[in-house]
Amino acid sequence: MFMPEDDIDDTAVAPAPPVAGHASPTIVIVGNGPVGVHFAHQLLQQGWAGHIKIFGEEDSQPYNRVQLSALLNRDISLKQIQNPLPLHDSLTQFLCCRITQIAPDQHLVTDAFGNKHHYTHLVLATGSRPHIPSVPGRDLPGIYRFRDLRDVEALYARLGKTRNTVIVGGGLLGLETAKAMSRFSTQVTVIQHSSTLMNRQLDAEASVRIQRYAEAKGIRFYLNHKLESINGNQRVESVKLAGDTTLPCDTLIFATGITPNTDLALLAKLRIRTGIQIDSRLQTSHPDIYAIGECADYQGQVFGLVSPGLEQASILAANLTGARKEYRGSTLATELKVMGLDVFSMGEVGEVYDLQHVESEIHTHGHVYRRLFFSNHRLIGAIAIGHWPEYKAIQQLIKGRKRVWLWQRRRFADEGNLFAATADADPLANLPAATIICNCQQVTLGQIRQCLNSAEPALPVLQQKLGVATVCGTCKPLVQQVLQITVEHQPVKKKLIAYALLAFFTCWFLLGFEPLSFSQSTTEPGWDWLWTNSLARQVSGFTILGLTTLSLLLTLGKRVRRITWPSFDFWRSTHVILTSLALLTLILHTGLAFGEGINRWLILDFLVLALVGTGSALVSAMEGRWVSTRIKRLKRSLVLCHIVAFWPLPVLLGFHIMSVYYF
Amino acid sequence: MLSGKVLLWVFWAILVSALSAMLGYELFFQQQKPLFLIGQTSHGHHQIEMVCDTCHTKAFGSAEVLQDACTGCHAEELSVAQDSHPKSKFTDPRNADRLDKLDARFCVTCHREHNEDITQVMGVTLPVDLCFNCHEDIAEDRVSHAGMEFTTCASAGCHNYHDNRALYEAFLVADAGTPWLKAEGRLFTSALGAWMDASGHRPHTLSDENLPADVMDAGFSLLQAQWALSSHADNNVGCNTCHGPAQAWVASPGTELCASCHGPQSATFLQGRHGMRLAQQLPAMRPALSVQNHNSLAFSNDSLDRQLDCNACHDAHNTNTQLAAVDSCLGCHADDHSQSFLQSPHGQLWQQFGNGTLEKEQAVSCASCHMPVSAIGSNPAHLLVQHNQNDSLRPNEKMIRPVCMNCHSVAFSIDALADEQLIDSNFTGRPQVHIESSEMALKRVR
Repeated sequence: MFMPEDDIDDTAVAPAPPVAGHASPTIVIVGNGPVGVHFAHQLLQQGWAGHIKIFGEEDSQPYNRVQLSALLNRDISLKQIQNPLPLHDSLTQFLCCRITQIAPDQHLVTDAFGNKHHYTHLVLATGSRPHIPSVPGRDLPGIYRFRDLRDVEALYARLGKTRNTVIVGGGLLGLETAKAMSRFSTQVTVIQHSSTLMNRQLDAEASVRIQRYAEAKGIRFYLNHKLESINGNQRVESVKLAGDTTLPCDTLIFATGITPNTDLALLAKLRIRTGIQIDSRLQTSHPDIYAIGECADYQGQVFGLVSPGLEQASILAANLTGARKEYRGSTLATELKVMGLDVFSMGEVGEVYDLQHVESEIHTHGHVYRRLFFSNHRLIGAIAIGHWPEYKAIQQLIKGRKRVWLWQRRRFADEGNLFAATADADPLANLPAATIICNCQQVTLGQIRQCLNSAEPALPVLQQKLGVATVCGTCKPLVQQVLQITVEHQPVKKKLIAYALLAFFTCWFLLGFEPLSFSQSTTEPGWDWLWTNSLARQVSGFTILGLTTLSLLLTLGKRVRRITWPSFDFWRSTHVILTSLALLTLILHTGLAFGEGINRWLILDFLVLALVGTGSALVSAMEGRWVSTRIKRLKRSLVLCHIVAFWPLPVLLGFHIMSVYYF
Repeated sequence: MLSGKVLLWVFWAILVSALSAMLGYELFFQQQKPLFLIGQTSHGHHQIEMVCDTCHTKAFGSAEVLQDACTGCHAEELSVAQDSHPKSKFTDPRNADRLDKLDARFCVTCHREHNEDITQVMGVTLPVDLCFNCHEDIAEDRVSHAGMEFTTCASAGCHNYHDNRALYEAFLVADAGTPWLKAEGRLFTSALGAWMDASGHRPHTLSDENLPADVMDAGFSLLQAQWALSSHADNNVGCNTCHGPAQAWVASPGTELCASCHGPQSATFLQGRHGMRLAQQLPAMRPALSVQNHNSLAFSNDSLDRQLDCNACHDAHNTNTQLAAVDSCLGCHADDHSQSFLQSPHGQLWQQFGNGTLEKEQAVSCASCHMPVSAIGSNPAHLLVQHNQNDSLRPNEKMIRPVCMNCHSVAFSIDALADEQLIDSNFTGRPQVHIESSEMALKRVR
């Protein structure tokens, strides 16, 4: 417990008047949940010049509320969910110290001990509390909620005794709790008033799949059921559902949503809707008071997930340290393991949007269920059950409301992927830099790469610097993946560059020079017989054909998986060398005169093919040095162009050879 | 449902099929194959280059097939020209070693088509000193030739590979000492009437005219008046003879109709540059088609779209051969040579003939040189106009015997025809070039 007494005394006894130009501006943060703590972190990082006081009413060090269910499930230890603030000269933490009153006009807050604290900016991060519906019997012992560390302790104690646990609420928290509680042959039952589970994030089909999955693990579900009453003498004994179903129950847990903590704001006469009303600068109705996290209400929306709160905190911290950013609402993205099942939901999905007319595309295959929602051919939402390597890219598309082409939709329906599989199996490598890797901290792939360029490539370093994989931990495998890829800076392939340049200069020679002159004299024969003599032309022509055909073996090396020797690099270099030789032979075959008609088409197609190929070879050679998704994308486009440029070649070549013998 | 990869393959298959179908259709089923024209042909052939099977008569043929195509059109003129290097010379086993140097059995050894870059005068695609191949030691036989460059054999107005009639030693010697301009020089005139009678094409009586009502419009009386003064009227050729009966009236009778009476004229017309497209059933030649060629002559702008059939030069209602002999030519041709004609000595003679102060045999028209009156066919008495303008033109030494020598000495003619500036001015002045072939012949004989 870190409570420097003199500090309290100082501020309590002589609160500094709110004078302009006060030497040390002070920010008071009410609430040390993940959002409050993140806000303090951000302030320190941005170099806030004044003092920071952060108040928490719980008696524990700040911890990561999001991972409480994992703690209850014993997936992680207590230590791992701690979310401590650094020791810093300008930061004072108050634990177990509830703020009871705000005096906006005097810029003062009063804590539970009666001390007054002056602030220049007050930030309310009071969070929320569980919403407990008014059901008869809700005060009986044996009824729990699942909000904070105390609740986890209580439920943990209950785990060994309970035989019949009933969870009210089939949302995200309800399912997590159900999983955590279903141990030691406890019968866990989930009661959900709506017809779908996680009705804010999923559709009916996804809900059914999760239900089946959970049922296989022994959890029972009552969907479309309303809790009517809780019965028992000394403690909970049974629950009665609407429609005369009675379930035995010794432990009842409410996971029925949240109510924003607005009491303090109400007392201070701040404007309240569902939560504390804020504008795009995250300001409440009082100019120096801000609200972030689950207690804040932006345009009628209170976000029950952590990531929008963190986003708000980052924006506010930036604004208070001089930036001018605006908050425009959050696109909700959920990626989690529900009872060990990968679930991904993002954008405008769920029950609320069901009635709105949207097109959607569904892919199902075994346990995999994926659904995309479109509006006007733009991706607006996605749901997935089961692992989906593409989900980061999808999230990126939804965020930008990007257009999805018809063939992509077709591919999605068939294969479940919007993007074609590429040679490098790693989907991360091809993602744009703006892709958000950590939803909680809103850290992008680009930021991680940038950080890796300047710092030691290790997870703890990234965690400390960027805060990735510190909140919910879902992105940890992704970050580790990024680490693996980015660390491998491969050397520039110098030989490949040399071969490609040979090909390039031959093309340049073919394109840039006038046809070679012909020998003007019988007495001094030149080299023109090479491209005028019929036999010589046939020899050079079929040499080109042979070299080109051999160089096509690259395609074999690429597509036939069994061929692993020699390496792909060897195939590629051979391809470029053979093509260069073919181009050199082409000089002898044509004497740099392209002719007309299909002969001209043929040679131009060949040169375009070679030039595009040269480009992709150069990019391939340099991609080890220039690690970036843009380079990857450039290479992919070049390879595709290379393939398309090859398309007419067989026909043109065939007709060229045939026409030589035809005429 | 198709995945992306399969879709790519499908696209490729569609593209390949479409491209193959397009190229295959053109190659195998179309007469004209522009996509397979691999380069512009020489100036002699560019008019008909789109009709591949004129020369490539058989698909997948050998060199012999092409050779047959060459001789199919050119054998007769080579025979007339007493070809100095006939194929028979090289199939002779004694000359087998020469074939190694130059396979002269085939025209295409020297005249390779579709090679615009290397095509030189006379459509030759070998270096101009090609004579070196066999005549390397010529200075040993002819001391006078010592020190001469092999590039000058054909370019100096002395020798030609095929046609050496004007340069034959005995011929040069025989004409030596002749003054440059003969006092009694006269040109031949056409014996069309005699030939018509002999061939039986002249109608004996003028048939009753039977015309559809709609042709009797305002211009008709003028046409009728012109016709009444024409040789067609003199020779009983009336409206229905050419236009057909009123029930099946042909408004513009074509070359075939003319050919029904004027066979040799039409035949020679179809052999020349003016009619060779019609001979291949292509639309008639237009100056515009020539202008596309890089080595084109100059043409007047308003003539570019004129169709080159019989009526381009001859008006059937006004059969004035004087118009056809000069005015029709100058209606299209606008190069220096043509434009200098009327001011040239030849042109002056022509104008004197026009004024009635000179006989026709002494007047020189465009046609006198380019479409000379000569014996066509088997009967040497049947002197008719040679309508193949190329017959006496390439090389221009061909013109010496049938044309120039009527009035000039051989030595003068050789000099004049070798002087390009003199040709441009249409022989206004004296040759500034002197070819010593006559002197060399004389020196060797003595």
